[in-house]
Amino acid sequence: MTRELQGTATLLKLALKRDRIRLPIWVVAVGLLLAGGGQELAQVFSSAEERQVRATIMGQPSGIFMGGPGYGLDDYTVGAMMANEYTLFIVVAVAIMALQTAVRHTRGEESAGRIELLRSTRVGRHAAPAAATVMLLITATLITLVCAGSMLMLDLPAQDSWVFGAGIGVQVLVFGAVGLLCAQLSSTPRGAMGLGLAVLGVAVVVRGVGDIMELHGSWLSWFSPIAWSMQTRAFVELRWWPLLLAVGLTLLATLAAMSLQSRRDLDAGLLPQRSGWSHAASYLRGPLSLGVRLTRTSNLTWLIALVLLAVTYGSLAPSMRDSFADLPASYQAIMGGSDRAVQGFLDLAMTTLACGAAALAVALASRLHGEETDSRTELVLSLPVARIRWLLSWWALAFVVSAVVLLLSTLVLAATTDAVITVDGVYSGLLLIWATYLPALTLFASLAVLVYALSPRLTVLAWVPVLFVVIVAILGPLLSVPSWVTDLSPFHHVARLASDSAADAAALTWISTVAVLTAALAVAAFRRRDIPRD
Amino acid sequence: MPSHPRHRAATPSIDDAAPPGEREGHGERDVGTAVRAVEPPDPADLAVDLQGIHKSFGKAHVLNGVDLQIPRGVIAGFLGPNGSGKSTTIRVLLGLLRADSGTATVLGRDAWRDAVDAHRHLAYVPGDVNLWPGLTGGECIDLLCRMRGGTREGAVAELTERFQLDPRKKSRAYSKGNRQKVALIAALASDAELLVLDEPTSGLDPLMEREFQEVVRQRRAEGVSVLLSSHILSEVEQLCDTVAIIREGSVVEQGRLEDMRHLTRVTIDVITAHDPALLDDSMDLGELQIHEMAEGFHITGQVEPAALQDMLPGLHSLHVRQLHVAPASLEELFMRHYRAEPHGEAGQAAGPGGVVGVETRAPGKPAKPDPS
Ligand SMILES: Nc1ncnc2c1ncn2[C@@H]1O[C@H](COP(=O)(O)OP(=O)(O)OP(=O)(O)O)[C@@H](O)[C@H]1O
Ligand SMILES: [Mg+2]
Repeated sequence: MTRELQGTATLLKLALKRDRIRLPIWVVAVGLLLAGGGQELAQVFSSAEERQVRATIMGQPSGIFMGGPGYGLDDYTVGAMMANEYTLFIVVAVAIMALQTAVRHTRGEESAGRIELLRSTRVGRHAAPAAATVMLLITATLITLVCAGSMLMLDLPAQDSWVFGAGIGVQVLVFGAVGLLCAQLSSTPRGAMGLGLAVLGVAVVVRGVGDIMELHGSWLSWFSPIAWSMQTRAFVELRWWPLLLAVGLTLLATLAAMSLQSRRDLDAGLLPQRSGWSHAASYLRGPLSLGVRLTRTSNLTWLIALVLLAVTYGSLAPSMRDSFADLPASYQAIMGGSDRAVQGFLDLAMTTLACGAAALAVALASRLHGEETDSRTELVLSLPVARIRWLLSWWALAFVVSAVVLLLSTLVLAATTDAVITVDGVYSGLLLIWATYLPALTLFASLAVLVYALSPRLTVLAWVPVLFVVIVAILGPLLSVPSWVTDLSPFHHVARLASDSAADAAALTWISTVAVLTAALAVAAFRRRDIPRD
Repeated sequence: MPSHPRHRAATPSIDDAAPPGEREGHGERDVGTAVRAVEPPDPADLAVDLQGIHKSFGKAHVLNGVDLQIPRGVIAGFLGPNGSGKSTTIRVLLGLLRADSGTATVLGRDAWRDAVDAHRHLAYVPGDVNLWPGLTGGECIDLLCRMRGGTREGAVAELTERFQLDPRKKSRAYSKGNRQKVALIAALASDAELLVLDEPTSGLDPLMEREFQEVVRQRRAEGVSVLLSSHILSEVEQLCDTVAIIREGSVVEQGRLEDMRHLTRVTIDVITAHDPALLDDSMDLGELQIHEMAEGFHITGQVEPAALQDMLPGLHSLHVRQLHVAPASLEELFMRHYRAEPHGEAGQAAGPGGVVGVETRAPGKPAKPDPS
């Protein structure tokens, strides 16, 4: 066993060096979100009455699904509110980070060929998973400290704060171990990540459905690791033993990953590799069809995810109306009456779906970067394929696929809403809203392509505009962002059901123009530059 | 211990392989000039014409005035130490990199401005072949062929068979050699006028290497031009009509392989019945080594091609029992450039006077008989 672990320290040093920017950014971002969000919440809901109104919403199925199992709703203190509403949000964020960490330091390294290089020297078979595990332990510790610290800054009870922090930290370990396991099963980093995210998705849904079945959680909830952190009842009636389940699962999954590692060849996965076609389908004949083929699996995954989200939103519409009917009249007035509340909720649903579509557009356009670093762009451009055609194919793919995915999930949202509740003109209304999101989607694709064309190394910056829009759209109303900032977000100018507002036509024209100009600029830059360039 | 005679089989003559019309073409020239100075080629007959190409990446000057001419219908070897700029030169002539200065013409078209048009008539195999991991080898070949257009009838099937590639495997499961085969099949199956191959055989096994050489020869017979960058000297020796050697970003020597051989010393290996010491002073055996062995006197070493003629009467009088004369191997020729000092050496090395002091070693590989 010690021989198998030989070289772990070397790999760990390498991993720390590779993550020296990524890790601190994640940890600080989680800390800021939690501390900042906590301060905001505490201010917005400063009085006990306001918090009780909030508790009514959080006791509804939608509130439970988006929040927590509803501990402390009777006496909704700031602590109870934080634990109930922020745990899910933060856990999903750290779970994605943990999956990434686990996969990139095991399967990622392996398929980049670095492990092969090292293992032939003095690195044992289990060194990579072991190094990744240590990385995860370090990450979990930092996350625990940051989360507990954020709670202490709100002057919340110390013991509960620490258990709350540990509840988040332990999820790093759980999903890190899941990532290690996925990295054994799939033979590519992308596949492993996809598998891990699927597990995370199931965990979220199981927890949500389980808690909706019964306030404070039903038997089903306990099958989701996410529930274990919520079941500590932090700031309400503290108990820490549910975290033991998380530790147990971590140990089991890590051991399973290690034993699978010794059972397989380097670079192979345990899920079978199918042998494929000896000839290409007849549609596969140019950059665009190639793009479609390369991204079809991930496009389908995105579609399923957004459609599921649409179904969830749609089915929560009645509870939205009912909960608003129970609310004090003053509160109803703010939201424009109970009918308007449903429509506001649908607007929010559309924004959420559009954020997903925007992320998809950027992810698709960013594939250009990978094609270049893997020197496939060089191969394609040595054929009679003009640079403009290669670039615009991916740009068009990003725009069209994200638009179609958004269209389908919009229709599903309309259909599910229509099935459970009557809202006048839900189809036409939502379709109009969909159309007004299209200029923004084009803009995201154009910006991503421009960044890539200027400097492929900086392609990751294409995510900044999406992040900006997401923060403005989701947190903007909560964080009281100044209006000139919200005006900068292309999502701010779409049509809305709640206010009966048609879209801001001038703004949409502007967005479209900027999008086209940006794409033109990208083409000009791409035609001028060296390939490959880093 | 007496050294054994080094029997070097005659290196396969490239005359067999040279296209008609090129065979007897070298004629007489001034031995003192560098090879590249002779025969200024007609630009219309050039598949590749690079003149004074400079390229730098930031502070690193990678190409310092590359001049490279490749006549149509020949296989041109492109040699040089690691990092000397071979792949960079190739990317310039493919219009992937933009030269800082100089002109790059490929098949009569500007390599940068008319890249797409030029690419209709050429096929490229990169040095580091990466394919789409989720596509099978067969899908990659079909896709590359379709995007290029102009595929030879039935060539894909024939080449797949010939290179023993399993086209149903996902690319991510291929070894380096198999990935190279995919790119090679797509390139060789095309009806391109020019093949640009960057170390295409670095991952192939000897059997596949032989298949590769055979197909490339066939293509040349049909008039296709080939630019072949390689580190495998035997491959270049057996396949190429002309050779260009690049060092630190400039071409230090280029010309026909045959001509280069004439410029370098000839290796001789003689066994005589009588002791060479008996010869009078008029015959200078200079740097040759002499060993006495059971079967006679063994004279080995290297001489100027011109000196060979003067030596023959003397040798004759010593009663020759065995005689081997061979042109210097490419290895000897290239080692000189690979080892040469970075600066100021090129001009000297190109002339015949620059050979002094070259170490001679037993050739690392027995010359293979020409498969054709
Ligand atoms: N994009 C780039 N940025 C900076 N330096 C580069 C870049 N591309 C190539 N170089 C440098 O240019 C030099 C020549 O590289 P090139 O790939 O042309 O060499 P090569 O002759 O093909 O070598 P090899 O035989 O190893 O394939 C190397 O020193 C390399 O580091
Ligand atoms: Mg190279």
